[in-house]
Amino acid sequence: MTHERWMNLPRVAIVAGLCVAASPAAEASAKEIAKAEHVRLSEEMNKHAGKLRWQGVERAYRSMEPLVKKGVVLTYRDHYQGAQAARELGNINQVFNRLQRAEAVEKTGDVANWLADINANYGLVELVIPKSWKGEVGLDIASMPLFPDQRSTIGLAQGRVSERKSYMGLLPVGEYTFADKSFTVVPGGDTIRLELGRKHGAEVSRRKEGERAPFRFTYVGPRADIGLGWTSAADARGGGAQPGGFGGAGTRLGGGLELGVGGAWGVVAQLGYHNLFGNPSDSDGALEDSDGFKARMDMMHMGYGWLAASYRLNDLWLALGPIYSLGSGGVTGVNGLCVDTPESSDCKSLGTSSSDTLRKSRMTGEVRAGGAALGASYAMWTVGPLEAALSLNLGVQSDMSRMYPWTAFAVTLGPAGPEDDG
Amino acid sequence: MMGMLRGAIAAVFCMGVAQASEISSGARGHSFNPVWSPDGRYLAFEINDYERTNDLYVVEISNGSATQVPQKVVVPGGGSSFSGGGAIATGAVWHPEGALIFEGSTSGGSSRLYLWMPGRQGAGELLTGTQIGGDLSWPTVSPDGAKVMFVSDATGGGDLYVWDKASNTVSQVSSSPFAEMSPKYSEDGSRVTYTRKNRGGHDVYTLEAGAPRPRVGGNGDQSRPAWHINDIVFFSNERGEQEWDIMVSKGVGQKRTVVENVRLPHRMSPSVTPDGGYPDQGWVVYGVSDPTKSGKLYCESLFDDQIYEIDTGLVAAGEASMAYVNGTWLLAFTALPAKGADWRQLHVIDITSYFE
Repeated sequence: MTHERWMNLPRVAIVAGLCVAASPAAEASAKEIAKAEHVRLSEEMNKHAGKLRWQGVERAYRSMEPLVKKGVVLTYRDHYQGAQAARELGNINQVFNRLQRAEAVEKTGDVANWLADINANYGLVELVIPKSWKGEVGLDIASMPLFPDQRSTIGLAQGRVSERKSYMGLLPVGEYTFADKSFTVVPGGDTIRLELGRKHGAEVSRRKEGERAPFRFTYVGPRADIGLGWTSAADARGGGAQPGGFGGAGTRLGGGLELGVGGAWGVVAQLGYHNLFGNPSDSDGALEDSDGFKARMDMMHMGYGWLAASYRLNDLWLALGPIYSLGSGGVTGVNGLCVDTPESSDCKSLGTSSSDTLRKSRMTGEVRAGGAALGASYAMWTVGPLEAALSLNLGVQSDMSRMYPWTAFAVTLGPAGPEDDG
Repeated sequence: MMGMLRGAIAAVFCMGVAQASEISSGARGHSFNPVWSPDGRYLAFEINDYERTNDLYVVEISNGSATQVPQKVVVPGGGSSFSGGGAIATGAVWHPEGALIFEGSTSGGSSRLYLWMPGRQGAGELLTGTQIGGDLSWPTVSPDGAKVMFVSDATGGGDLYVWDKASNTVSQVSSSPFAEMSPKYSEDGSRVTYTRKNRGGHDVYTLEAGAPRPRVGGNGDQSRPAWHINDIVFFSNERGEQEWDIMVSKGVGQKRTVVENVRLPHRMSPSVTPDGGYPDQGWVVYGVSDPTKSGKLYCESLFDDQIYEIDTGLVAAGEASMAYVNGTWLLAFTALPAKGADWRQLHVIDITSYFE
């Protein structure tokens, strides 16, 4: 019974309150654990670095990175050795990033020289291949450089391009060809941008150092949900000619777009349909046909619009944002206050009907409810250019007189998220 | 003449005491194996403290003098900010693009080939373990820089392999149960000379059109060959284990002694006239083992009997290496500053006037 479910709220509140009260202690403990893990990883990293086991150094550094969110501050040495490992493993973009992080911790001549060396021998490029690109595309250099880090960087870029993924980062200075278009990478901070157009061929542009890159969505694609859910509606506050609490199972279908706006962040915009069908009941139990009353099913049909901020954490997709629904419903039974005390002043509009009549009266009307919805999805499959995920969607909406909490399990189709940095 | 046995009387031109410019890194150890960059701008050399390190240094040279304190080339993990050192860096050769290729290893580690360029940060491994395993040594670079040949002990007693820069691939070019060593490309890059160990010593071989051919053998070691046009100049100790001569081979099975009783360098091949300088003449420069002439270096023609005697004014001069830069002849060598001095130091002399 919906009424009974809501009676559990105080217990939930107590548990939540305890959690909140305990959270500072838990947070402190988590921070200590993270610090201890950092110490362990630092020692492991040193051991690997001493034996030139760069894969091990890289693994340790990558394991350290998430600890930053738990309050751990990585040291100059962590970043420096991370940069060494990235160099040995042939990823100059990561070398550059890690050196910048090291420099932010401590300015040394060593790091300054290394950064200057990279700036003198590499240039920034953006080789943009739209997701919709179907043709072959290659990246070639006129003369393969001598240094292994430069060869590895070219190999990395060539690998991504051959997989039809965009490459944004550093390339060694030199003459290149990308999709039959020649371009020259020069040191000095300017960014060479080549973007494959709808027609074959690439458009070349150059962005001066310090000039902001024009905004572009990092990924774009349709996002659709199809699932089954449970929706309930609490009893209306204040009585009156309002239906009683109701609930039921139903379907939830939605379609729209998801757009990446930078890093792991994106925006989801979705329109959809949400319904429920439930057997009529009240605090005395299920309502059945009797005395000329037909206990028709509770039902609700709503269209909704959802605008959410999304965050992609590898295969875990999160989306949270406001939702607004508009629709109609039909419910058997008026709100509990009027059934129990029909003579109440709040129930005058219902006339002089008996409690039993009110229990079985059919209420229909329009529903407009706003609130928030959260989607948590885990990507499981690749479906053409899209990815399919299993989702748990939760929402709470209100029409100002009652709350409509709902939950739905769904299959979600969405675009592949932002490309990794290689 | 000069305590050397010669087939003919030589014409020796004595030029008095030359003023050598000393280049000190401040590090403890003997300096040796100077190698000029192709443009003569840089000089790589090694310092060995006879304990656990053999370090590689590079210094910029201008007008015969160092422009700065020599810079140590650090083997990754062997002396960086966060390691204990104990590294070996040796056998440097210059690539035409201005990079230095050398053998490097950290304490207890494999010997691998590393690449470093003046002004660039740190040395990097030229080849990965996936490309070629084993200890790598004796790099030599083709004149156009397109290939680097080296020895790997991954197969045989140490076989020759070549790395192709354009394709970034490594292929094996010799396969024998014997140790191959010290390959050197010819000036046109079409041939390679190297040594192969026989039962008693080393013989000189060539690699032409991919086929190994014996060039010259003999008693003892025929060691560290170098090209001069079509001739091969090498060290030989066929007269006795401690008696080293410089010989020249003009064809298969042919050899002629150029000079006897030279001071054998630590690792270098005979220093012959660099490419582009006096191509029709050919000179070899050396120090001698005669202690009464230990401060002198000799620059001797490979074709006639001309010899220039260069009195360095120092002690135990050797490890000589010539460079010809924009009409200037530079000679790098190592010597003790005085009798009883602890360490051999690197020196440079402008010897252009000797040839005018």
